[in-house]
Amino acid sequence: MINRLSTLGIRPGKRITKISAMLMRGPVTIQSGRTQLAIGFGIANKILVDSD
Amino acid sequence: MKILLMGNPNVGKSVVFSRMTGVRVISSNYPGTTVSYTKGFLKMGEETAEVVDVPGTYTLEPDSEAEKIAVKMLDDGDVVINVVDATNLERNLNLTLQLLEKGIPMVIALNMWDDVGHRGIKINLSRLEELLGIPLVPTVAVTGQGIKDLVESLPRARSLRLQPRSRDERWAVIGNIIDEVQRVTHRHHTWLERLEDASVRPFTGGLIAAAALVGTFFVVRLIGESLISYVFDPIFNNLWSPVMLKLSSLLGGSGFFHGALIGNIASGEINYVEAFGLLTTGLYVPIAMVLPYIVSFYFVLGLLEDIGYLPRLAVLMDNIMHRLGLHGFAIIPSLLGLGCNVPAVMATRILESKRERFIAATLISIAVPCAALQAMIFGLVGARGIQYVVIVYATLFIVWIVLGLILNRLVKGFSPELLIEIPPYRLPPWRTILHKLWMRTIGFLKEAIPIILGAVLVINILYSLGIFDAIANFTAPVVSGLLGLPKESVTALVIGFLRKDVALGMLAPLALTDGQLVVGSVVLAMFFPCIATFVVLLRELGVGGMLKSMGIMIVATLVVGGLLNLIL
Repeated sequence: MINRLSTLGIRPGKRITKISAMLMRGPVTIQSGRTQLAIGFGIANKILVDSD
Repeated sequence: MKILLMGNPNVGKSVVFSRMTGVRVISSNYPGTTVSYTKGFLKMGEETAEVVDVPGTYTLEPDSEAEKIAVKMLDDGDVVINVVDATNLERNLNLTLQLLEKGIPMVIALNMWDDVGHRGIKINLSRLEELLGIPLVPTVAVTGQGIKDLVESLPRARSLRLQPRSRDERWAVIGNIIDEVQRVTHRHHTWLERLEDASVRPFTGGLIAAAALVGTFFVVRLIGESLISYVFDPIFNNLWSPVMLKLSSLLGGSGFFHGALIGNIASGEINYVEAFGLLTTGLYVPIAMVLPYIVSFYFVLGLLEDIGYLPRLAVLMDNIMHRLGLHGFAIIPSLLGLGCNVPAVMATRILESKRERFIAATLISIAVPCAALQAMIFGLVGARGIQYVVIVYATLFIVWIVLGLILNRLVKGFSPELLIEIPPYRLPPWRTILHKLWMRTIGFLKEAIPIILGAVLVINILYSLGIFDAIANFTAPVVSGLLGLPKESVTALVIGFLRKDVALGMLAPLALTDGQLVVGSVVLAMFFPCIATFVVLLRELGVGGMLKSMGIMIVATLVVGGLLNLIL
């Protein structure tokens, strides 16, 4: 999973922007660089971010 | 020589492929349109090279079935054209570096080059080429720009045999390259980007999805109905009928040949649905009843695909789909199934686990009626009143949900979480849309007409041999007892194995009540898939999975058909 996320641009030190989240623990849409991704709530929960 | 087109999903490999070889393939704006490979040929001077359109992959450590195919193909290629999305250089270069480690000669097509400027990106081409050490050609595959240069660059393809790097080392190298060659300037959001964001927010997204659904329904009906009433019905009634009547009197008005070619016609009037001759029903069903809806459905589907709406629908639907043992992306194969179940079952390859593929394929083959069957439902059931069409659709939809809920409980394992890339909205050129519509329409005509004609012929032969009567008597307890249909309607169920549209047409002359017609339509939709779907199910699920799927189908059909019969 870490491999898959990293190939899609979600890696330690990368800046990501949350665009939206579905209700009831639905998928979260994030943007990293030029890539937009939709990821399940469980995965999103495990991505730790520092806000800036 | 064998040339492999490789790259991340949704970078336009299939479009480059079409441009290079002239072979037409379906391309769309979402990752995973190509799930198996397509071959074509390219003339290079004296030599003819084989070109292979490989399914997209993010890495050479594959996760899905389609990606496994991609990696396996790498072993027997001579040259790789690495197609790269120029607007998304950093992510794409990860695969590029992995490919270079494999030591296969390679050139890069920097595709979507026209979009780079629009998005405020500047790329230093010559420096990038220098850093990577292999030929680099900017292309705009949808317009054909750069394809000639790309083909000419092939002889200069180089193999670098880079030392294998660890994942982190690779990203560090990519980071350095990007810093050196790419400049991104800030720029205001366009209206398309605002719409992109609105489509994945719960409230606005829901509104947009509802609008898309209602819009789709109305446009499909509008185009389909107009084609039928203003084009095809007039052609058949005014031009074809006189020819048929003449032929009928030439053939003497009766006998086997008259029956097979023209069928039952009552005094000077041809009922094209009920006649059941090769030249009457055999042509009318595919051309005047089904084709109009094929054209209208695929037109709208093509628009939604190429704009890039479908992955967003996947995000919105993810919660519901998880209850059915699937994740949001499974909505895409399911929607394709409303056109034809064959490509839909194949498209389930984009789903990661075997469990999901089984559930998705089973649900599609049971509860998703194809466009041909739907056209007949609108034509025949719709004539009895729109409320009956609603009952048919509502029943199938409930079956889809309930069966999904049950399968989610019964099939071992769990459904993995959603993780998909969402492509930007693109305004597809009309040419591309019409091109794809044309391919799918021709595909329908080529596959459907021979089978429909064959089915009509088989029906005539079986009737004249009295075989249908035997089957009808044998299955009467189930068909009449449980489903409440006249025993002759079993012939339709048998023919449903060949074509569902013809099969539904066979119910027309039986003088069914409204309720019986609804039961018949639902049973036909759920019961045995047509032979083409049967074959892909067997291929995708294997013998065991296929048998399980069929068992579920028979039980579900009898239960639902029986219940409907009790209610109506």
